[in-house]
Amino acid sequence: MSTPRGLGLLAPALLLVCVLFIVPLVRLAGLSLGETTLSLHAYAELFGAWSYGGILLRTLRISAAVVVGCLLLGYPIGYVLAFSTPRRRALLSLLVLLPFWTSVLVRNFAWIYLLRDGGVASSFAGTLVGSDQPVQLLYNEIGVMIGMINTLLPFSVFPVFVALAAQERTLREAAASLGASPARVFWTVTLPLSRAGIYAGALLAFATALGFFITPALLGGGRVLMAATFITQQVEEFLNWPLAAAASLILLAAVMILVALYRRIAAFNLPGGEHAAG
Amino acid sequence: MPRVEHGWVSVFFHVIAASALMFLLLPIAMMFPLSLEPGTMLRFPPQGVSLHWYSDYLKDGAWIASTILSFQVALGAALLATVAGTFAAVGLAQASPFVRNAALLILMSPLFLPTVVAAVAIYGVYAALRLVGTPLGLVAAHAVLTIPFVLLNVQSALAGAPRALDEAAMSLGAGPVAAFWQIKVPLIRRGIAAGAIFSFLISFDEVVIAKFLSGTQAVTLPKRMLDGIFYEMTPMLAAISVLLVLMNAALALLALALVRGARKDT
Amino acid sequence: MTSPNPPPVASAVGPVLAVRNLVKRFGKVAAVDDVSFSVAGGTFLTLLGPSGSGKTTVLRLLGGFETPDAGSIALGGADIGRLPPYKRDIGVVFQRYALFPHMNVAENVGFSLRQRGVATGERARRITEALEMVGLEGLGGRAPSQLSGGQQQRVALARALVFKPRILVMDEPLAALDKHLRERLQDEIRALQRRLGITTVYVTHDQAEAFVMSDIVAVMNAGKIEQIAAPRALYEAPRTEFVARFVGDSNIFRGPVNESRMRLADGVLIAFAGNGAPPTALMVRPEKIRIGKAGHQNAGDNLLQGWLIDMRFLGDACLYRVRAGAQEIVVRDLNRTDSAHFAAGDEVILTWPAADTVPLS
Ligand SMILES: Nc1ncnc2c1ncn2[C@@H]1O[C@H](COP(=O)(O)OP(=O)(O)O)[C@@H](O)[C@H]1O
Ligand SMILES: [Mg+2]
Repeated sequence: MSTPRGLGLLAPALLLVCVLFIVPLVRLAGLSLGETTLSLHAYAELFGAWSYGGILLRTLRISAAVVVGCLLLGYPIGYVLAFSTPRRRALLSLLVLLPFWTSVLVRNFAWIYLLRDGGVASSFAGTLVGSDQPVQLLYNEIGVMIGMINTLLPFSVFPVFVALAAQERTLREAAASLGASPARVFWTVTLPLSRAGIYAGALLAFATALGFFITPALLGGGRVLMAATFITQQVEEFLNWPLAAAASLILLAAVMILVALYRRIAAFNLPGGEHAAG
Repeated sequence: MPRVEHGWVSVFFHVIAASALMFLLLPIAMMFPLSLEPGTMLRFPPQGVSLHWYSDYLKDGAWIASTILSFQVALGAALLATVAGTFAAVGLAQASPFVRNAALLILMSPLFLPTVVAAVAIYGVYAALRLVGTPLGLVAAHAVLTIPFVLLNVQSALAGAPRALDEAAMSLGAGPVAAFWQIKVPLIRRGIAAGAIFSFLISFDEVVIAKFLSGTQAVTLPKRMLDGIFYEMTPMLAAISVLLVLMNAALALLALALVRGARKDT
Repeated sequence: MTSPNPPPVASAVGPVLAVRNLVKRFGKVAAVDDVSFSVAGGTFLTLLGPSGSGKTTVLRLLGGFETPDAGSIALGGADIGRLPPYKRDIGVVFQRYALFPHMNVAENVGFSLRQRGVATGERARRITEALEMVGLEGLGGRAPSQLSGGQQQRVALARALVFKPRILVMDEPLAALDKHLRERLQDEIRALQRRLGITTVYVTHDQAEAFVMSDIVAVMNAGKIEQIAAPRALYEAPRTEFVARFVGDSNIFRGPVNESRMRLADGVLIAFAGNGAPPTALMVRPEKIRIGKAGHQNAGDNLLQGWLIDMRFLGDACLYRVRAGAQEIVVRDLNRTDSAHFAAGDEVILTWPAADTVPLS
């Protein structure tokens, strides 16, 4: 055997991914350094453009808010999963996974209907804040966040579930035997020990949120520009490949850093893997 | 009954979790009543009960052409990804740590990196090669996107087919090829099937890459739905959504059952 | 106790298996470090050693699952060191059996025959025969998961023997079983091996198991064979401190040596029977030492005075810990009707013959 073991079997997949994914990315990186001559012009243009600065900030802001929302809703679901009987756990995870495996278009379509002016959600939100006017939920950042949280929620559920399910019951029993009230056991033992799951879920959701494209486009109605929208605009409308490439590389770098962090703290996968299209 | 271990915290979390599940499921559930609307406007509750949007969809040449294309692309992508991904997963198990880590980094990258960047990058290359708007181009791009899912599923199935079994087979006189087909493949077939189903699902629903690569010639079902949602929200979209939800749920359940079964085997 | 069966006389053509200067490195670790041994036809050889000493790696080299960095493996006179596993004709019983979970018992056992193109009828006959041989007649239709650990072990054995390999190798085949079953299978495997007369290389970290089953035991430590001998010779005359400590219990003494005496730190002299190079240490087995009341006269070349630190009652024997000068000595006294009884703090004397003091290098 002169070639390293396993390489022959790996070859078809590696070839496919390299030719169709890695090489195009490298070519994109090349484009970001100028179409004809080597320059950082595109990057200068990118950061010089006030509009892009705003887009970058908005992308970060929305993604951060989405992560907070995912954790606030996802932690309790992960908690309930972890402390359920196996049968109830199986049923509940199916209920979490069902939307996960539903086309993002179906969900966005539903949210447009639910969130639009005079729709169910906006009138309900109106009564909540005590105004008889419906609250504007669609075609703004709120709508985008709702749609993104809806898509990314499972990303925060399963890491939390794994972290909680891995905890020894005896730790909680020990805390209780030392005089901690049930709620105190949670705040002093269970929650701190699930930190890794929280971080992992947050990083995963954040990394995915940064690249969201369909949801901002549909629920933002062209008014909520995020990084991905900017990139596609540059390609499709302005044919400004260097600028699109530069923006892509910035996004790529941000996601790669987050994913590297995630890999450090987490070693698990969602059932069937993460479904990252949004 | 589950033990309430954390007092009021637990009760509070159960309430939040129940609301969060509603939040997850409600939009999907909405599709069912909306699709029954007899009129041309989306209305809740519907003005009546009619299945005519379903039959309209089935009679609409453009929609059906897109549906068939999506099936073809998804089948092609699943086939390609499954074959390449299965061999790769087996190869990974044999490789040295260095090769394994490097290969994993490359093969899993489509899973983690933003799809929109991949789409733009591939679009750039395809435009030069005149592959935009070809089903073959979509198949190849989707295959790359779904290889990680095959890899994950086959890899976890391989845990039930440890190296010792190959070695046992070889000590009993089976060459590498016989050991692969008689021992390895039968033991991981559920994982392969689950990976194939997940690839099919992802490709069938994929819209970001399709938006760039569909062109005017190869408009997949998600691409057509995207355009539909942009320009005209009709109950037909709800009807198609219902069909998609049912198909995806059925396939995902099948895949999950395969994964469970594979775990039970070991 | 152990009555070592004399190894059958090697056939005229020499040993069936001959391993010469075998080396296998994993990175910086030399898992197998210049190992040589040979096994005569029909002999049961056991590789005995602590976890990580390289036993499994030797077996994997024999099976062809690893390629050696140096050295040769000859089977029946032919070098098989470069052959792939499926051409070696070696029956392997794996550590956790490695039964094929998707095949029933008969299919598992018949696998090797199918690879060799044995016709269906003949195959069925030989499967039945092999299952009878291990006492599993009628269980051919079962799935491996429907069998107990002991039954799975027997299937693995039948599967490894059915194609009549030239040698049989087994890697800790009984480690996963409970003590009772383990002892029964030790006897069964041994009996079967004798009946078939198949040359066997067996691996275990359990000294009692090695002694009960083997003609020859090779003690491994850190990738090397420390000593290779019949069980009784290994026990009575270990050559190194490692072997002395690993095989049975031992008291070890250290000090400068003058002729056939060793001077301990507290001045006491220990007599030993030896006439080779001066030993680095002396060893005496706990049961070779006699314990008596102080003042009471005991015969023996060696005599130490001390007091009893504590005593453990084992049922068939008492284990005493005695402080004698700078030494702490363990004595095993069989529980006989006339055995004296001692309590912690008692003054005692210890005696044993020089012939029972083993020089170590
Ligand atoms: N595939 C391997 N890669 C790296 N090191 C190994 C490998 N196999 C065994 N080793 C190392 O070689 C030494 C001997 O291992 P092994 O033969 O399994 O010992 P034993 O069977 O006596 O417990 C150990 O230090 C072990 O860690
Ligand atoms: Mg071992």
